[in-house]
Amino acid sequence: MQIHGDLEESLLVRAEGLAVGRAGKTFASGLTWTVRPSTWWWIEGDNGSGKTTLLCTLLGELPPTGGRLTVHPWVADGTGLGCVLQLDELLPTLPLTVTDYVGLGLAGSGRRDAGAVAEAIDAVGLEPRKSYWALSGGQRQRARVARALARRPALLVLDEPFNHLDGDATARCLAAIEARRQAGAAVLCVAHRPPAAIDTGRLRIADGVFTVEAPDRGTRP
Amino acid sequence: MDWFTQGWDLFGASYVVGWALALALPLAGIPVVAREQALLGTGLVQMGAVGFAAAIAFGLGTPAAWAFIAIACATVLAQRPPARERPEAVAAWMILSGGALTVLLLSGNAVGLEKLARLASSSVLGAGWGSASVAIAAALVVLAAGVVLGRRILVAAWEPRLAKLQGVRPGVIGVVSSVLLAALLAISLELSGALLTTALLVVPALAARRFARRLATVPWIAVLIAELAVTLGFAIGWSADLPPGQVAVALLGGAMVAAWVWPPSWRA
Repeated sequence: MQIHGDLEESLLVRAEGLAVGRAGKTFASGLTWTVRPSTWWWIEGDNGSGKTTLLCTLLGELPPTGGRLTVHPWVADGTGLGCVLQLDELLPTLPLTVTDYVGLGLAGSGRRDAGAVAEAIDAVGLEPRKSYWALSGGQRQRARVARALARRPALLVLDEPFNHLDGDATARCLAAIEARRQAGAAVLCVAHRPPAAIDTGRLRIADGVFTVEAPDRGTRP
Repeated sequence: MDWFTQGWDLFGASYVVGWALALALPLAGIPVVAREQALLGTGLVQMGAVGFAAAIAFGLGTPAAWAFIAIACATVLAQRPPARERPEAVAAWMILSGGALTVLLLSGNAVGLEKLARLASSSVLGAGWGSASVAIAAALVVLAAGVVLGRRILVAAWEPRLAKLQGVRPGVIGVVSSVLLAALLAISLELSGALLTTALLVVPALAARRFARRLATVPWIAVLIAELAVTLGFAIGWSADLPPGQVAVALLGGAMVAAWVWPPSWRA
């Protein structure tokens, strides 16, 4: 992966004939694609098609198995990145309120912004002083979304962010993410069932091939 | 207060060493406890004892420096365990192998074995003001690292994948925190022995996490527990003519039992 290189200032990610996979095996190939600020992309595909592998490649955790990938330095060094990962690494070893949890997410962003933490928690509708460990699966998922949003990132990478969420919670999180997009962030979101109300770019992975469908109206989801 | 008013001239420097270590070690123990690696903390101290024993056995000079090297090597092993091995297996290996090696290195060396016995027990009494200065400096460095890097150190230990993605640079933070921890443990081993060092590293943080409701209060409660135990250790040791280090460790054990009785409010 090339970091920054000759990437235009307005691009966050550029893939040219990118192939992704693990352990030398290519899952999908032929991705030529750019990600600009204020765009929203759904990444769709069946289980095991390579959606998470693509995200891991974009995030620098896996090397491309082919082609060329260039990312903005804010993405490469993580300072401009907000992530919701599928797996929660945290062990329940220390007391942790929702505010603590979201606040820890600011580590590495170079900011200590209590206002951003409170705003993000409010946006997803959680009680800030409640113990993170006492939250349900859906509430923890909302806390993860809040944590990514609190960083006010240039690129939001969301891997199944609406898992365990009911309809109201999904709508609330979508609205919070959309507000961040309108503020300039690009959103890459893996989801099995993208909400129909959102008009975005779509990146499909099927039978080892990427298909890119640009947003209908430019940057507006 | 006789222990303080009458004992200060004799043991003032030892009191300062105890209080400084009771500030530094519990703070350093919080990331260890966050990863559920209290056993590893014990293993690191044991590997420090191997460094001490090797320095004495081979006449290598300052034992604390060799303890530092041994602990630093052990932290590297702990952070990069053999493929598909769990941290507690590495910790158990450190405790068992280290325990055997320390004695084997000094077998046939009566003076060395006596020094080893003093290291294994806790002999916080007898420190001079030079040692007190070292302990205060170590405590201030740990405190400063906690203020400046505490959140990054905790995230790097608790959520290494997310930390790496979000610019925390867990590799760099891991090296910095490992060097600090190795230096602190080596200094504490030299000044207070293995028992008190291990107890102050893991027990206050383990107890504090059950009493605290928020993450931010864990360091305060851990340090409070440690300072109370050490201070009462000195007071009871003076009045009952008991070794204060062992009294402090026994009190920390009691604090742990009290913490078990106290249900953590933050668990679901």
